[in-house]
This record gives sequence, structure tokens and C-alpha cells, in this order.
Amino acid sequence: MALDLWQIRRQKRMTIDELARRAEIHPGLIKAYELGERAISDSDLERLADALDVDPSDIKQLSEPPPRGPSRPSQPPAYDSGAGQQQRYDSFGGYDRGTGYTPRYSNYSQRSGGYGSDQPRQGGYSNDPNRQSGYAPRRSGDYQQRPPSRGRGDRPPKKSGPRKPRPLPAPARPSQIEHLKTLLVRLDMSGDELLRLAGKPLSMLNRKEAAVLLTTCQTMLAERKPEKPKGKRQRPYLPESVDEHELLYLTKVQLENRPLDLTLFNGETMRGTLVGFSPYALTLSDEEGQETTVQKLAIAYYQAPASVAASANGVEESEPA
Amino acid sequence: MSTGDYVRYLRAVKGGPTPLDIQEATGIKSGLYRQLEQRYRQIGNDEDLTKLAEYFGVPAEDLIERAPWTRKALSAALVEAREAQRPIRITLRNGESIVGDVKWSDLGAALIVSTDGREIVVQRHFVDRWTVED
Repeated sequence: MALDLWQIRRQKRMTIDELARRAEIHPGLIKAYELGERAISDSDLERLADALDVDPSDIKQLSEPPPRGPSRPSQPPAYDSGAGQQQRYDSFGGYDRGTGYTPRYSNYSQRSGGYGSDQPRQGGYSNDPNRQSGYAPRRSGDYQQRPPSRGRGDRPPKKSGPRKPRPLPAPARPSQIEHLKTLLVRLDMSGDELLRLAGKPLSMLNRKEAAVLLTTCQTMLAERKPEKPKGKRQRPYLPESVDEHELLYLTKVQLENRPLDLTLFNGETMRGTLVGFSPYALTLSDEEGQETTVQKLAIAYYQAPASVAASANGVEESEPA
Repeated sequence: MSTGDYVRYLRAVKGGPTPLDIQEATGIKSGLYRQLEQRYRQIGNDEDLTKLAEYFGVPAEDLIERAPWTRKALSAALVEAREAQRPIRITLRNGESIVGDVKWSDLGAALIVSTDGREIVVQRHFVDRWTVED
């Protein structure tokens, strides 16, 4: 009749670690098999059977978990969420104490309070009930007995008594008052309105109140500004960024095939029909059809003959005498 | 002609040394020459301008006196004349004067309608001095 893995292992007086070494299976997996968390795979079943010197059919593929033992403490340690299950398991088998093998659940396997132990479990990796550090939970009274730690031990103990009153807030900075005055002038606010807004005269404001009042005034000022018209491109006041006037003018002159009189930097003059231009140069064609490109930096000024200019701008004017 | 336009002209006359060449030859602060040519406001102090004048072989006053006549100041005068509908007197580098109303002005030029009705597009780099008349 097939038995649970843990039953056979116990009969063979083997620990999990011993069995793990013999079967070359991780002890965590063996534990999972024994707890019935996993069914034993066929390959592992053969290995375990070899290690335990039994027939594979003698081992249940899905074990029932071992029953609880009599030495289970009444209250499991609160810090260990998996303590209940582990404790139940411990109490039966008394796993792995002194085997020398340290798997990743070593604190589990080395706990006291397992099988055959009279000591109630203190928790963690320590069996010493007087131990006051590490994983061991503190019992009542530990705090008085504990020596002061190194880091904060030098600090004087906190005085118990009435709290020190907080210092009064600093008065408003002169710059805050100055800024407030400027804003109030811009808001055209009277003294009464100011008192209503601030609740006290400016000179009595503290730094925080002045900051709040400044924010309020700035918000009010922002709300008073007229909205900018939407859709129209906003240009700066000075025409430094506007470069289309000259190009529009030259386009019109070129389309109407009108001549231009250029006066150059060195005093020379040129006359021709505009055949092309860029932001940096003009190209004129003279009467013989010869094209000349002149850099704008070399030009002092240019003009269309008066009659042409008047026509180009839609103004009917006669050439002045 | 602002100081920037003038030194650009002088540089061209001198054969086109680079701003770095000028900076190394005069010992002025790095980047100052480039700013002088490219920015529209007043750049550099009298000492720097004197060094540059020596380098270009012109009287120091030529540069120093131009310093406040910046392109930005010309823009302000052109806008003022146009908005106030007042004539502006522009003195060009060749000594010629044009008096008239500002029809438009932009980055490189301004259209002045002279008192005799001519429309003259003046290149701003050729303007030496100006006055908005009453």
C-alpha cells in the first residue's frame, strides 16, 4: 500500500536534507511534495524511491500533509505570516536540526519548538529566549532592559512637558510691502478696499500674509487685462521681426514690370527692371537685357520713378516738377 | 549707420577678416564683436570701441559717437513718426537728407514718402542720424 512521502522518510529516519542530497532534488521541492502542495513527478518519484530504498509504487504521488504535533505553541508569532503552516510541519518532523545544510528556508528548519522540543518557540533563528536582537520578537519589559543604541544614545532624553511655543511669524519683507504698494496703485485700490482685502494695514502684515496678498493682487491684475484677440498673429511693438514690407513692395514692382533707380553705397546709380530679388540681393535687367545682381548691403536707397511709384501704390499722382 | 553696420562695412573694406581674427588682434572679449554686428542694441564700452577703431584705422570718435544710434533706436523713431503721423528727417551716410512720412519700415528698409512725393526705400544700414520732426 502506498504511503505518503513524509511517512516513508520518517520510517527511514531521514531528514529532508539527507533525502534531498541522496535523491539530488532540491529540499524545497521535497517539502512541497510532503505538504501535498505538488504531485511528485515520475522522474522524481523514481529518484526518491531509490534514495529511500523502496519501490516507486510505495510512494503516494500526492501526499497528505503531516498532522499537527502536540508541541505547537498556542499563539503563532505575529511577525511570520506563514508561521501556522510551518509550525504545524515543524511540530511533526523536527526538521533538519544540526544537519549542516543551509537551504534558503534555513530559519524555518532550525527553529526551536519543533518535534521533541520543550521550549516554546521564540521565533526567528534564535533559540535563546534571552536574546534581544535579530529576529526574536520582543517581549514586554524588553524595552526597559535594552541598552541605549550607539547612534542616538548620546541625545538627551526628550523632556516631557508643555511644548515650546512656536516663534511669531516674521514681519513682511520691505520688498513685499513695496511690491504690494505698486500693485495696489495699479489696481487703483483705495485704503478701505485694501483693509477689507488684507484684514489689517500693510505695516502689520507678516511674511506669509504678505505673500498671500501679493498672489491675490496679481490674480486680480491678471483678470483685469483685456483678452488678446485670437487668430491674429501678435507681433512685437518694434518692427524688427517684420520683414515682409520690402518684399511685398518689390513683388508689386516686379509684377508691374517697372524700373528701379538704385543709389549705391559709393554714390553710383543704376537703373533697370527688377527681374528677381531675395532678402539679401536685387537683380536688375538694364535696357540691353544685361542682368546685374546687387547686394543690398551695397545699396543706399532705391526708388521707382514718381509716376510708377504712384501707380504701384494705387495713387494717381503726377510727377512733381 | 549704427556701430554694428559701420564695423561690418569697415570689415568688408579691410578685406573681410573674421570676427575671431578681430577678436585676437584687438584683445576684446570673446563674442563681443559678433554681438556688435548682429545685435540691435548698444554693445561694448568706449575702451572696446577704441581698440576696434585702432584696428580699422578710423578715429575712435567715429565708433563711440555712433554707439547710441542703434538700429533699435531707429526702429523706435520710425514707429513713433508713423504712429504720430509726423515727418522724419533722415540723414544718410553720404550727407544727403530725406524728409518725409514713414509709410512702412521693416528689418532692412523703410519707405519714406518725401515731401516732393517720391517714394524712397532707404536701406537702414545707410542711415546715419534721424530726427522726428514736429
